[in-house]
Amino acid sequence: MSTSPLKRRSSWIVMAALAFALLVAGATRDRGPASQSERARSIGVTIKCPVCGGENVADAKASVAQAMREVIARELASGKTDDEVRGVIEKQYPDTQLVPPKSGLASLVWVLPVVVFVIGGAALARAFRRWRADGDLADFPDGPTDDVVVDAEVVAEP
Amino acid sequence: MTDGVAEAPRPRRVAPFVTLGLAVLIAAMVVVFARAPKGERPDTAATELMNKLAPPIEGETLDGGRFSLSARRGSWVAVNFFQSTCGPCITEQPELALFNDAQGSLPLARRTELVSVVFVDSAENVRKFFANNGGGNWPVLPDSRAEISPAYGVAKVPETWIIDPDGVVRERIIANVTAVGLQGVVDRLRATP
Repeated sequence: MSTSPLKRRSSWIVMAALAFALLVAGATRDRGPASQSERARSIGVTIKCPVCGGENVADAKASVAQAMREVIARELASGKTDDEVRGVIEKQYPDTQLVPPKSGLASLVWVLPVVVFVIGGAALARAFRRWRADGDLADFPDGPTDDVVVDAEVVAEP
Repeated sequence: MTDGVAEAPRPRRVAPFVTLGLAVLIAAMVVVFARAPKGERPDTAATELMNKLAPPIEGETLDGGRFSLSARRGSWVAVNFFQSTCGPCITEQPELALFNDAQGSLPLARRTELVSVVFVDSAENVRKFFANNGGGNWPVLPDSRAEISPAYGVAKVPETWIIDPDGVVRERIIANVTAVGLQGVVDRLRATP
């Protein structure tokens, strides 16, 4: 039993659209207002403790991490946004941000995975199309393949 | 064209170009990560605060008095950040006591005021620290709300900062100091306009 190429393509498009819609819904879902301690923790995990060999500020036990957590809590309590609080920490403890900046050379960390994903997807799509085209063009020069024979037998069964 | 049959066009080979492109992208990512700051404490005392107005230091001292750096304008001030459990701080403490005692024998114009800021520690531990290691007969600020040390970007102790009579940061020392060494630094800074 064969499916028309148009129908096959439509199902891929529907699946892609569905996946995209779910992704957008998940990313933009309103989780309600986060508590101040949740915000403090979410900021703390994006900041590196300067003396703890890679631990983040939210989890590190070092005194400086404790001091930085105090700063985060105080700045949040004063009404600053998360980005403003990160700015305060960056000013006091430079080079401790774990989230790469969105500008300059380091922004490539954000851009390159997307580029690789797009190129990879395009390459796969092209490869699939070529394989399918090769299969269609071959037009069974050496007789029907085993799959076609099996399909035919299944259809012929009462 | 042979035998009237068109030769099938050769498929263009894309894979090598895609592979090359991906290799370039991965190489670029390696470069980006290699250049990323490590976030570890630098071995240098460089600070953005150098030659700028020192962040405020004020509050209640360990003995219940008040201290304000801004009220010390006109004097050289040495600000020492320490913690009772820090080994180098314990080694340094008698030297700070010597430094502070020596100020009394200097002409007024050459004296330096010493102030200690506690780096995340309890008042009880700090009192024991001074009882065991001497000193503490100068202003000691508990900084229990972590307002002072983050403003100076202190990540490890001991650290000693020298503030000039205009309230400007002139030196940051990220090792333990000696009485003679600290006096030498202040004298050098005094001689440098």
